[in-house]
Amino acid sequence: MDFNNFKELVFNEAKDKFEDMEIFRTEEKTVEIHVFKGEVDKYSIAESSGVSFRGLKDSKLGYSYSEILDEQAAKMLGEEALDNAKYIDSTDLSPIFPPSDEYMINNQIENHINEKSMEEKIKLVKALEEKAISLDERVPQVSMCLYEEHQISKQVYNTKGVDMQEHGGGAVLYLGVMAKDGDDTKTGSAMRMFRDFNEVNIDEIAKEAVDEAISLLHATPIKSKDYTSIISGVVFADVLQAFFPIFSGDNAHKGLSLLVGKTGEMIASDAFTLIEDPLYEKGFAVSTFDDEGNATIYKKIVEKGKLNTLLYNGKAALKEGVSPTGNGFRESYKSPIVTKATNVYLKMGEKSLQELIESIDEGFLVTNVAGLHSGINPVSGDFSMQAQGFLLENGKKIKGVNGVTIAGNFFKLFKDIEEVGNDLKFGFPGGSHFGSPSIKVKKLSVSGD
Amino acid sequence: MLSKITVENVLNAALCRGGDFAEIYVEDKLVGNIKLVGGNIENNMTGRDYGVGIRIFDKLNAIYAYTNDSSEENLIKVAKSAAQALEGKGTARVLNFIKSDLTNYNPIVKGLFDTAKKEKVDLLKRAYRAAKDYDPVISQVSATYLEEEQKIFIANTDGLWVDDKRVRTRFSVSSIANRNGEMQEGYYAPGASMGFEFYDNINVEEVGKEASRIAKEMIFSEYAPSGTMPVIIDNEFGGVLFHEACGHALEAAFVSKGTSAFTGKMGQLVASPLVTAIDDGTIPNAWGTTNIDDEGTPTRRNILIENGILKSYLVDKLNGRRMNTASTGSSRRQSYKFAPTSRMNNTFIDSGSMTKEEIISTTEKALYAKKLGGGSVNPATGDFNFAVMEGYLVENGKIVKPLRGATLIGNGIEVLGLIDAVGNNLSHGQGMCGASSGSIPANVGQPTLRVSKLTVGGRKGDE
Repeated sequence: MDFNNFKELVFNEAKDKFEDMEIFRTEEKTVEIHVFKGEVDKYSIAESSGVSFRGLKDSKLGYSYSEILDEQAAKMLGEEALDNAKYIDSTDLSPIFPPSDEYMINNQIENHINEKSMEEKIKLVKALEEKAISLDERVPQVSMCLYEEHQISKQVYNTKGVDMQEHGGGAVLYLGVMAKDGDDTKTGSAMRMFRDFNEVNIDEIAKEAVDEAISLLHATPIKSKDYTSIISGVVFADVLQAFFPIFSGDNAHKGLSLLVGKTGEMIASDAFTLIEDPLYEKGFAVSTFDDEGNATIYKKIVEKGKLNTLLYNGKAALKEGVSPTGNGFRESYKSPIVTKATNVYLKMGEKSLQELIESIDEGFLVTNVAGLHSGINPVSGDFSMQAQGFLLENGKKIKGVNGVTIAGNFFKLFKDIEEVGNDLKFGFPGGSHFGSPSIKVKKLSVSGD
Repeated sequence: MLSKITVENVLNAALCRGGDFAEIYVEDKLVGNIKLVGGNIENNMTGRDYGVGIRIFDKLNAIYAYTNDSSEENLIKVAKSAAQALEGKGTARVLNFIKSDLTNYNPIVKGLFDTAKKEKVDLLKRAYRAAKDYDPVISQVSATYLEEEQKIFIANTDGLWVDDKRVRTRFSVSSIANRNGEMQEGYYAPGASMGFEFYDNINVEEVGKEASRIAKEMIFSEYAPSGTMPVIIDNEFGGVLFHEACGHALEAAFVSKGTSAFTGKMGQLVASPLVTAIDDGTIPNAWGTTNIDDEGTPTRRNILIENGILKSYLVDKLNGRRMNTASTGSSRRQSYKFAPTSRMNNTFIDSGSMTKEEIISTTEKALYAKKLGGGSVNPATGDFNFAVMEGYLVENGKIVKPLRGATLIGNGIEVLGLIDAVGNNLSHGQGMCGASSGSIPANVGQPTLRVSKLTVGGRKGDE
């Protein structure tokens, strides 16, 4: 069934059941091309969509969703949401909002990925693989060489007058390579996100991945102790993402964030300014409204170390008596509203990575971490992660480091940031998109030999 | 779910440009999810996933497409557009489907979606109460009830025609202990391929207390030391060690491309002779058990490593072609949105002969990891990491004090060789395993065991 008809049908079926209703929908087209040894070993095309429903009954909110749009589903959405609402405990305010007073206008970001044909895209991935294995005889093969593109549209409608629609998308090239020398195997990778093929230079991507793998060959652990350290931008972007739940006003309200009551206080060094920029042109989470239809807002979450604001979805804002900050997002149409952000990045400083390296007598440059999903705890702020990188001596990279862990507490690390570089890099885009320049920290506990 | 003629037409459309194999996978899944935070039901979601995946092989090339629209017209359109990636010419075949009979390893007594929501909400509230009342140091408790009923249908051009229903439920509790401005979390989340009778088998109050016990132990603990030392890993979820350190690297997706540390090692000694490791998709009602894999091959018990010798990989159809090996019934996917690939079901290290007490009492100094969190691995290098959720210091054969914040890192094959004691208390824990074909339920398991040397990443310098 056509979505507009389906939407009408759902609202009609459910109108006597609820005080307020909302429908959220995403529609997605994706293409994925993997190349291995000159052949397309995986080619995937997909079109999918899903609809999520929220209904407010006696000030209680019930959720339901469906991927199938037929009459049975239209009925089921209202009935299930009503039944689910019954069991919700307490909450006396409606998080289904009327439209915001003002929305930003997104007129600068255009998607050009359809300007190349599928044949040309396949050729590009094959060329990237070929380039990667031509660079160094110690790199005999790739572990993964792929292209992915997404086009997504998002719609929110509610009975308070919200009627919003937005399109987005982009493409990713990813290359993973293996370097072998004797018994030693190391991996390296490089990734680019883009909306225009003119921005893509496959020689550069191949070189970056190969250089990383080669430079880590015969890497060894270093002595266990505290090192003055540089954490590369891509790594710190991932770390910020993993710890981001601490900025959720909802988590703070529930006693799940140590930032509760810290608004207006210094929580980081003055080198630290964290910005949410919903229309950041290189970001891949560009959005002018959140999944509840509230306007997204440009904001400095932390400014020169001072916590300006936590982030609020509709329900959390009502509980705290503040305005929503445009941070009510879902993991997908299958998930309830949680607190998330659009494009978030740490503001750049003055120095290049090279200058940061030159400022260190003895230290550790962290270029890769593993175990982010398990080795960190956003509640306590504790982290302990497997790390790779380089030992620094007298302002130079001395040797590759592997088989160590870095550990500490995130809240303390914030305060230990001495300098922020000028090399802003973004991680892999999910629902949100996180970026950071390289950062220099006073000390980081490294566990190795 | 679809008529024979529709399936035949779609599979023939998929082979319209050549290709030697086509498969259709239909999924219709009901999902329920209830979340409690701080004693209140916070979210309550019901949903229905529905979609169709079409896969084409042309020798070693694989094409995958999926859609939510299962009308014959649309499926033929999707199959043909997927086939555009090939350049050959196909001829229509007459397909003789033979319906497969299944062995049912997961008998269901009480349907999850036939059970009133009130009963599920009561479980959450009971668990909350037990967890919150465990100790005054517990400041917050969240609990989640998850249920799903996944109907699948698979047919392919080899004549396979099979359908199955998978019923699963999981119950998780997370407790937070708060003391002097610090917070520590405890978590416990049992699950099974069972109906609502699962909750006759487990006591949700005990689940809540266990989460709170861990949080309390950890809030009163010190930071773990750093450096290399022996590590004793307890049974149940400790099996995530083998899962990360070796299980992933035994998946044909990596082995067949030479991107696994186990490539070319079949028949060789890859572990301590004390180690026998098994992946068994047939354990009755276990969290990772399915009657068939997601290509329709019956699951089975695969002995991966026997007394230290590598005996089998985990093989799916596509990578099996690359390796000239038959499927081991190990091809899995999260949903129709993913092409399936080789994955684990219920993976474990088999019981040895020592008691847990003997292992601890014969250890001079070690980190005892009683509960592990999740982890990850780089299959190409074998380098793995995982988090210790509940740790203790062992000295002179005794557990001395609790330790927090440790991560264990090492290398898969190396660590397998360093296992120097295996206990007799095998048990299984439940996890969600994420990889290229999505997030799937998998059991990990082992008896208590000791690794003679691992790198412990803690916060405190070695004393």
